[in-house]
Amino acid sequence: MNYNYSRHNIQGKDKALERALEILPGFLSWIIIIGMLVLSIVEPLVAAVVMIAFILYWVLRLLYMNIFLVLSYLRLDIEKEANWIGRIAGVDRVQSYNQELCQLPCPKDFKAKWSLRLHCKELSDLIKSGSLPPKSDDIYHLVIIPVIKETRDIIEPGIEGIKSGKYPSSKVLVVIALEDRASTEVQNDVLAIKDLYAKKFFDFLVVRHPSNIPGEARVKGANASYAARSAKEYFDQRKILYENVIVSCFDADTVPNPDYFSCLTYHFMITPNRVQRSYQPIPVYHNNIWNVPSFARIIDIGTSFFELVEATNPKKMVTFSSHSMSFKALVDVDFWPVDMISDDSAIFWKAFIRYDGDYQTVPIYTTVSMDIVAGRNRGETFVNIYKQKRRWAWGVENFPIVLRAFLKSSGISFYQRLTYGFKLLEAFVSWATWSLLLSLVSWLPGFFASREFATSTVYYIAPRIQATIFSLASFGLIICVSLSIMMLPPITGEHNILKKIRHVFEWLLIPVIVLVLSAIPALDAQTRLMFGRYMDFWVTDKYRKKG
Amino acid sequence: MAIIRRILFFIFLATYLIACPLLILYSFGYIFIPIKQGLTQTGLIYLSSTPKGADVYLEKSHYRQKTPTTINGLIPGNYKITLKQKGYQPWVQTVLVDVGKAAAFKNILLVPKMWPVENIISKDFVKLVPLRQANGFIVATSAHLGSYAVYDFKKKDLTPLVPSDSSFFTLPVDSIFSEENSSIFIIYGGSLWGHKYVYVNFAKTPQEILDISKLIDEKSADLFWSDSNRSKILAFHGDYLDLLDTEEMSVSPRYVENVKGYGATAKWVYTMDMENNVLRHLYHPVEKQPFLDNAQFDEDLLGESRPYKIKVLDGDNILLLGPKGQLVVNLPPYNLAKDGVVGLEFYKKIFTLLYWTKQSINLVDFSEQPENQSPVKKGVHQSIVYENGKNITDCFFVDEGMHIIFKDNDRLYLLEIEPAGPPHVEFLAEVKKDSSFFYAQETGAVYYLDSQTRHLNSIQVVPK
Repeated sequence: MNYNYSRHNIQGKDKALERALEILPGFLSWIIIIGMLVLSIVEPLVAAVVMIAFILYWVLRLLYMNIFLVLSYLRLDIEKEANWIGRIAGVDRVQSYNQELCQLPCPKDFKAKWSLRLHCKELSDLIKSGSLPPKSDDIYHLVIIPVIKETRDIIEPGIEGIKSGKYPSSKVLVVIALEDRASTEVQNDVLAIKDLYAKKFFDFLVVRHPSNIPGEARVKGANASYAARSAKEYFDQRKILYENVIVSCFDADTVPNPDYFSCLTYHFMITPNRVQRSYQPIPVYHNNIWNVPSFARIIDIGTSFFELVEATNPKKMVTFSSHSMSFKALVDVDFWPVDMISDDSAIFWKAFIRYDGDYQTVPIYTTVSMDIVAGRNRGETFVNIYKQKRRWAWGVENFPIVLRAFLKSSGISFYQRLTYGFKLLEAFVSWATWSLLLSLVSWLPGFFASREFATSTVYYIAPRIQATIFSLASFGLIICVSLSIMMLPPITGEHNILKKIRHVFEWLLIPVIVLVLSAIPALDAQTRLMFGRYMDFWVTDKYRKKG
Repeated sequence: MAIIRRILFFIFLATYLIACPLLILYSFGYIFIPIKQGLTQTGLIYLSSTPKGADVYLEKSHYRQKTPTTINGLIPGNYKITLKQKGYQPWVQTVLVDVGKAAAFKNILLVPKMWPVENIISKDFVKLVPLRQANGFIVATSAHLGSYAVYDFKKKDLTPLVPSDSSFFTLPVDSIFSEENSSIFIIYGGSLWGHKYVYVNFAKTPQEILDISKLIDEKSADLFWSDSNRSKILAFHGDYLDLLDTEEMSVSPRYVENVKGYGATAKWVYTMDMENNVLRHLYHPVEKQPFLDNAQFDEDLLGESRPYKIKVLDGDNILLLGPKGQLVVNLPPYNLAKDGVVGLEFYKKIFTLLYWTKQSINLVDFSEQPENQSPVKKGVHQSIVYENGKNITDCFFVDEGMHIIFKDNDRLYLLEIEPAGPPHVEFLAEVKKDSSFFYAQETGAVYYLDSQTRHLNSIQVVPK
């Protein structure tokens, strides 16, 4: 379906509908919070019963997600040693390669055995689909890195990471999407990087994005789209098929895993309907993880865990942060939205609508590492993280636009429209409300207990039930702590053991951190959208300790 | 992964659908009793004690948990509960457990086998005057003002009310005017032909002492003030109020006339006119505003008696205390006591009024209206917590309002308020004849003059 994926340039009923749908998530979140508050005062008995039902639901969902977190981590660990380059070469001759693999003795090593088993299944699915991929030699990578205020020390590690990765950099076209309004220092840094790396890649372009192009907002998507259009011309001149180009849009601080492009190429090749797919790595925030305050560390480990869980449900997975997709699909959807902040998820929804629901995200079990937002001191770090999470939560701007498309679309099945629409709304509302309900509202019925309620069994038993349920949730906490210890990069410097022990205790802050740096920013974003106070793109500050 | 996801989803969904209603039923007291082969609704008993950690006995069986604890799953009926703690008397209560209900015994104060009596000051005191909601009380060794002193229980020191070089040192004291939470005292006394009113401001160091006799009409007056307006004293003379200014040493005669009742807060002066309308005005200017009309306080309720002391509790709630001990509130059921009220204290923390007559101790709960009242008109809930008194003269709330210490015929008692059973009354001490006592919430100790030695003693009632 051709659809104007924007809240701008709409008229009449569409505009009214858009506005109503903009109000809906914030309205629901506030209704839930205020409703429970009022219920706790007016009918504390009912509120206590509702809280029991809710906390049980929450803990079961938490445990359910923990199971998939562990499974996803295991998958990531299993695929760590995979020889992606060898597999790519194998997929080039898929029929004979599949037969060779089937005859190989089963490895004794647990990880190798499962990795091989999964690989064999993927090959079989590809052969069954009949949708054979282009030869790996014909596949090109386009990496777009939007830059506005990131200096050389932020950008260069990512470029170096692409160059020194296992995949041949001669197949990678790097495009630095440089904002014209960037400072002279940033512009000079970009040119210096180009001079240093130009010959190490298929090509290295610096595309300057002019300011104030009509119809564009000052958002990252506008810059990336402008660069992608330049890249399109570049491919047209060289007669490179869009279908054979995989585009990755990376944040300036993104450092891909050495396996990233080989793993991505493999997944692109092995996926039957490869053009109509996005490829989502697991984002980790390891670049500066030991140099930031504990609250910053915990909240972003939580983000990585969330994406690990999401990776186990590709049918409902939406792209997030640095990810990749077919350049053909990017051209088909007319590039990233140029007037939205949340370009990472918006591009998924644009493609989903454009291909009438035949669009999915394929999780790829490799990592891209980014910076945790920081500041010059704890206070500044806190404020910057709050702003970043609010910007992420501003992804709620997609909800009214997607819902309007769902209401109009006849190509997307009713089931898909219902499930995706519900998931989108539920995700935002639960993001803003759950933590508040659990930490603040759950004890209110007892606080506002009337004489009648205070003499009921519920008054005394409900807190005990809640305490028992919360203690069950501590199993989830133990899993998170264990996985974070296993996933985090080694600590540099002295007192490593002490730092790790301290990190274990940092997790005890999670209820407060989630409330202050996740739920409240989400509620803030939804409330802004509800009142039509649209946000501007705010570029996060990134600081790294020198040396 | 998709199959695993689906299987786990249905397992978790089934778990929720089964566990959620079961937990909710459990919270309402429903348990499965195999003998009855079905769900039965039960009740529970909640017990917490001071000190905590007491052994709990349900009938004759020792319950595995110590206080504070909840014993749930009890089939409706009567249960004998015993708490035992080394060094304390056993606490025994028969508790009626009802379906879906909780019989709660919060902060059961375990009574030591021997009350720990501490001698504070070994002097022969003749009088103890409690100062409500203040940091101390007044004690005296004779009838002369020079022997009067304030004992500060926080600082644990005794400060003379007037210094030895004061001209009022030998003044015989007839009575002392004081207000709740105030550091001002006005002493009335003197010889038959030369009575004086002495103003003592204890907030100043050294204390400010003024002779304000010339400001007060010779007719006996009732004096009252708000601690926020230390220099503004109101004097009631039968049917009018004078306003005394101790800074200016001036008086505004007949400041308010036609007065049947009176009271004051930091901001307002409250009066009741002869038509039973309650009015209020700022100290200056005197522009009366209607506060409550006489529809609430009609003749049947108040009668011809006067004066009524107006006590402002919080916001719009007021009490009227009549000369015969009538007690009236501006909320249903209006008439709290027809006569005989000896004293009262409002405990803001739990929105509860404690008042007492010679025979009974009563509580009035302002926190919610009784069920049989109209939902439009809020009311108060009144209960008698003790009615076997002979000559109750003073009461204090103890321990978050769960206990009351009272003096009946020169004996001090500790009363435990039991919402689900008869009250527990424990003897504390014998006090000097006609002297009062003081209880300090902050320290949990009661202070009194010993009946034999007349020394100032204290008993730590609530362990801190």
